[in-house]
Amino acid sequence: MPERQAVTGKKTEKGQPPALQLMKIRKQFGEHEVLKKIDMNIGIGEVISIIGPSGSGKTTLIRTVNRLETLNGGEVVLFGEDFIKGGLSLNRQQVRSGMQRIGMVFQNFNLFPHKTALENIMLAPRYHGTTGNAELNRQQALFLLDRVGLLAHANKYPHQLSGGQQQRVAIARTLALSPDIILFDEPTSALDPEMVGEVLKVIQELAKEGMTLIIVTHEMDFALSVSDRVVMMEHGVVQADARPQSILKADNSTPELLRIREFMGIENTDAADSTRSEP
Amino acid sequence: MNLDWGYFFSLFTMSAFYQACVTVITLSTLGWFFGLILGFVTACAKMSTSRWLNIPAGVFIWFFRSVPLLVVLVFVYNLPQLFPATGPFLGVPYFAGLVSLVVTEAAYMAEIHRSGLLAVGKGQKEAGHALNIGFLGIQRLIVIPQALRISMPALTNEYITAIKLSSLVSAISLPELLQTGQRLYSQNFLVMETLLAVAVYYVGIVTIFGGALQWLEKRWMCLLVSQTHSLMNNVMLYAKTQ
Ligand SMILES: Nc1ncnc2c1ncn2[C@@H]1O[C@H](COP(=O)(O)OP(=O)(O)O)[C@@H](O)[C@H]1O
Ligand SMILES: [Mg+2]
Repeated sequence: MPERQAVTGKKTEKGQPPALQLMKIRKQFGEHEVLKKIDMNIGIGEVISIIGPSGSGKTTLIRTVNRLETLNGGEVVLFGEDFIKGGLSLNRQQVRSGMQRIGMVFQNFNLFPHKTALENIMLAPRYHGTTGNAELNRQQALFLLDRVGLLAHANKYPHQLSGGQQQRVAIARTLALSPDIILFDEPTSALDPEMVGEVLKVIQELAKEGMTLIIVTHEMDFALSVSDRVVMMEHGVVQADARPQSILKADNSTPELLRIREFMGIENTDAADSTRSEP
Repeated sequence: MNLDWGYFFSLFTMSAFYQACVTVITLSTLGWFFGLILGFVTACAKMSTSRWLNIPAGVFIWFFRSVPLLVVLVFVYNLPQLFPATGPFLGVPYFAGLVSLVVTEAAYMAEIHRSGLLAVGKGQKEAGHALNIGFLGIQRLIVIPQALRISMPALTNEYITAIKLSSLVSAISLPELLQTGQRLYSQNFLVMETLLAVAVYYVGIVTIFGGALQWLEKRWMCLLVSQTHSLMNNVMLYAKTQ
């Protein structure tokens, strides 16, 4: 955790726009308002964990950032440039180049079942022509597979891999387009418990390397150890947005953080306990 | 009952039958192949959100699935009466047969393609979108290859259907297998022997060519299995995460 702060300190240089600014994001499905004017700033190199009860809008929030859902209102600004404006359509080129800067990892991996691990990774760079010739693309894909510890499985099809391995291939596939921001939607929720660690480790390494990450997760220990900030959503609003050590230190002097502590299952501190048991 | 076996066996040395076989095989293969492509286009049109595409496609499927091939065939063959310009093409029994077979097969295969396309999960398209791949790229690289693998068994079945349906073209006097047989027995009255030989020819064609197509399909089969595997896995994951 201390290591993480040092890195962040260096990164928040003045004059640089944040990686991502969400301004008054609104989204409704029919009558149901799922996101109620969400504001959030994510600095370059920052790691944000989003937690919250099921149905609170976490998935919807990161899907709007990735244009998988349309907005009913608000704006998304990417590295200081307009990316999404509720209701308005921006110019295509701008949207395309913005999309290229954002990667996404899904809860259910969504690997392409008709392609091998290697081909899954090579598909997008080949389509975009971003890695020059086929051989370079192959080399890059192999490098990425090695990075997630799956070089030996390059030619296997997704169904021949375990869930944890599939998710690591999915991360490598996202990395192949060299995104500046990666969104994770509960990357370990679909995994058997023994595979959670290997995936979290890969994400942790990305965090250490200074990648901007937004992670929706239920892994509370992981969220506390890897994040610069933990955001708690509830009923479509940001209920709390705090640094892990503030959350750990929170007591009755910071009542707004007690709910997030309770949700994360952190035992209340002595101070909080004693004041509560007094009356 | 006595069959003239000598005559029966002589039918397997008759070059007219082998020419008829070639007609059956090319007609059904071309009919199947173009039907496959037209069916795919029709399926895409039917799934489109544009009314200008999905309504005509729906009507096409509905119409040609309802009208018997024999009726289509006679109608198409006689179209030159209405449109003389089509005479050089549709006046030829082979082409009239081919066009009829294509539209009928296309109507059936459109529905097969459609269920294949619908079976490819939403998450696959979303993964493509997250990789900044455009609509056409997603279709070409992700959806269509998977959809074809899903619908391949049903599509190869249609090939066998096409081989058998081609016998109807005898009605517009194309010398395919049945017509060749009919010409013979209308002169010698050895109906049973002739039709038995015709049946053997059909069985041979279906076995060899239908089998070849199924063999090709099986080479894809391992991938097909992987497909269903991961489809099942996804269903289970979904159930687990809900
Ligand atoms: N496509 C959709 N159509 C209608 N309602 C939806 C859709 N997607 C999500 N919702 C609703 O939006 C709310 C928030 O969902 P979601 O963002 O998935 O929550 P979380 O990821 O925090 O569990 C839920 O009540 C859910 O039922
Ligand atoms: Mg969710």
